[in-house]
Amino acid sequence: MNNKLGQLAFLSFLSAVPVFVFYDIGTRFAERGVNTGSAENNAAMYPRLVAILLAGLLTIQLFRTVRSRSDAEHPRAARIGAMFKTHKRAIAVFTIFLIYLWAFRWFGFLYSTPFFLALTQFALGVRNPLMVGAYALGVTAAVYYSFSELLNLALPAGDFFG
Amino acid sequence: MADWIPLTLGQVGFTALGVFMGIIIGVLPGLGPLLGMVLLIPFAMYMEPISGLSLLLGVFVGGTFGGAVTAILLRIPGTPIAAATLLDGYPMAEQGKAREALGFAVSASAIGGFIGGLYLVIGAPILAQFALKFAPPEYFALAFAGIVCIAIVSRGSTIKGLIVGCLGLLIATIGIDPFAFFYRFNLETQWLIGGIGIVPLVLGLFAVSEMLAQISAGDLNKSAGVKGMFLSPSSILNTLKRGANVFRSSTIGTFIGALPGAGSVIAAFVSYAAAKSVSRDPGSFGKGNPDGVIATEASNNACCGGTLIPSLALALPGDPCTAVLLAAILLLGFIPGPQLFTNSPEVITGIFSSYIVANVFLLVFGFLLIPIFVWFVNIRKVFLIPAILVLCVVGSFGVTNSTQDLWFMPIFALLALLLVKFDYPLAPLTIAPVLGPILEENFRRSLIMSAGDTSIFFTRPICTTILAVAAIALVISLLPENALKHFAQKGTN
Repeated sequence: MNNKLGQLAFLSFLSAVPVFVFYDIGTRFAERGVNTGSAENNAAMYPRLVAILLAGLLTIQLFRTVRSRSDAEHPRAARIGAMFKTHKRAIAVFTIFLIYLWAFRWFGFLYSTPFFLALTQFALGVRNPLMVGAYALGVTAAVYYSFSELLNLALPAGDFFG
Repeated sequence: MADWIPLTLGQVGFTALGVFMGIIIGVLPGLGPLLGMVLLIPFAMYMEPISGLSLLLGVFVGGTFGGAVTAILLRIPGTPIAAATLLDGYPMAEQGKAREALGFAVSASAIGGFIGGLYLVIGAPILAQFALKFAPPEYFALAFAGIVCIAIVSRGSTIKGLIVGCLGLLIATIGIDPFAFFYRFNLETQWLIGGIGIVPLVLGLFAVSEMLAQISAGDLNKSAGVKGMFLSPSSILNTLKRGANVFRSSTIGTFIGALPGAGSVIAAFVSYAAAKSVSRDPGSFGKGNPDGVIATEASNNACCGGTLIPSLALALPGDPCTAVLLAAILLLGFIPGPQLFTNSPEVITGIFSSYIVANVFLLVFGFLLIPIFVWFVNIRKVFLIPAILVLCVVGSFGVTNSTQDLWFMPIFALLALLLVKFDYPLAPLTIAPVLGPILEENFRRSLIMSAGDTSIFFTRPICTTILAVAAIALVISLLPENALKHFAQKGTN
């Protein structure tokens, strides 16, 4: 996908935001009667204004993108673009991160974190099991001590374990 | 303002700890004061308020300087703030003067930060006193101008900045309506009832996305291989000998910092250009002139003080770091703005004191502990990235106490990657959720005051002036470049 086409696709993605705002105001807000009236009772007044502004700006940007001749990409954009296309490592780490967020709730901090750290290191190319193990347990212990002992923050124990 | 209450030993200690951690975070490429502050918010929340704010201010000051270390030694600015420092810092290192360059950078940063602190102590109470006369229309105008300024000066086009700003404002409306008891845009789920917290939002936008970008950039197992060194205290004297440059750059940095959205990067480049233009030897800039390092470093640290002026006096964050600081003030149970100066003066004097003390610690740590900071430059990303991701999760959980809110992080990380890919700025998305509630509340209060008459925004002198300035700035930024050149040509003729 070239840059211009990508820009247009992203603009369509962003345009879903004002569409959703108008839809919610027209349905849920209207049902509760908070889409009209004075500033005090009209919960839709301000978001509607912002959504109109956003829709206007997206339209201007759409025209600018369609009319633009240059198809050059910003260097950082190209780097991010390359990541979407080729970098399996970033995608793998992101997937492990999503699993960690899920496991964080169900298995708690102490059980999920060492596995997350070990798996991420493995995904990043570390193959020394001793180093991976020491790192995973060391970081988990340090973070647990800092938050749980020093700050008295109750880290999740895991819904599976009650 | 009430009497100045000195910092306790504990508060001084937390300021020192903040500076130390800030420098470490700053020297690690890709990380910066913003990430450091967000990660430490959970710690700050569990502390006595001034100690917590001292810790965050220390990170702000230390992190702003930290990027200079890698800019000078490796030609990689640890943070974008240090991008201008490498112009002369790295050539100095190439000429075997790395110690001198780092010495100038530390001294100029600390002195610049101190001067910025003096402007803060003088300027913020005056501005707050003036702002006490403000009513909802003026606050609305200020918040509106803040969003416009941030959108204008952010990287990329103004339209794109405004699009992201509007997106941020809409994100801020998720959750309960401030006037009517009604949940907005919560998709009828419990998850979004409380809205989207700034901590998971910022961590997703800046930390998780940056970690993914760094993974894709490679070099995960490579160590920088930089050797430790001690700095010579004579650098302080040599910096003071260039006092005019330090003072000019600090003043520029403070004033640019006080403009919403302008930030340290612009301040550093403007000060660099100013130093070059008044120099007797402008040709040596870019080839290792110490004045280049001094100008950029004095300016970007003074900028922190400047940014704090509108943030504290008007609750108008100038950049993402101060947006996070304001969020922390709120989380600690205080309402930022001019009332804070009269209702809780101890918090304001505490912030002033810790900011100034932080710059003293910057000087001390910069000279005594630089080998430790240089050692951190050598940490391989393969060890850094997983630990930072864990800290993001635990940090976000520490603030929101919700495992559901953690899911905002990957969502905003993906959004950040898409925004950057298509050249949209991220800063308005961080600041808009902080300014959004101020904007909406004061917009609706103004209309309640005027019984729905919108002319209230155009009949009050201060409000009208602020809106007019914002509108003019917006129109100028939207004019095509050739139209601006045409006007400039006409003016010259």
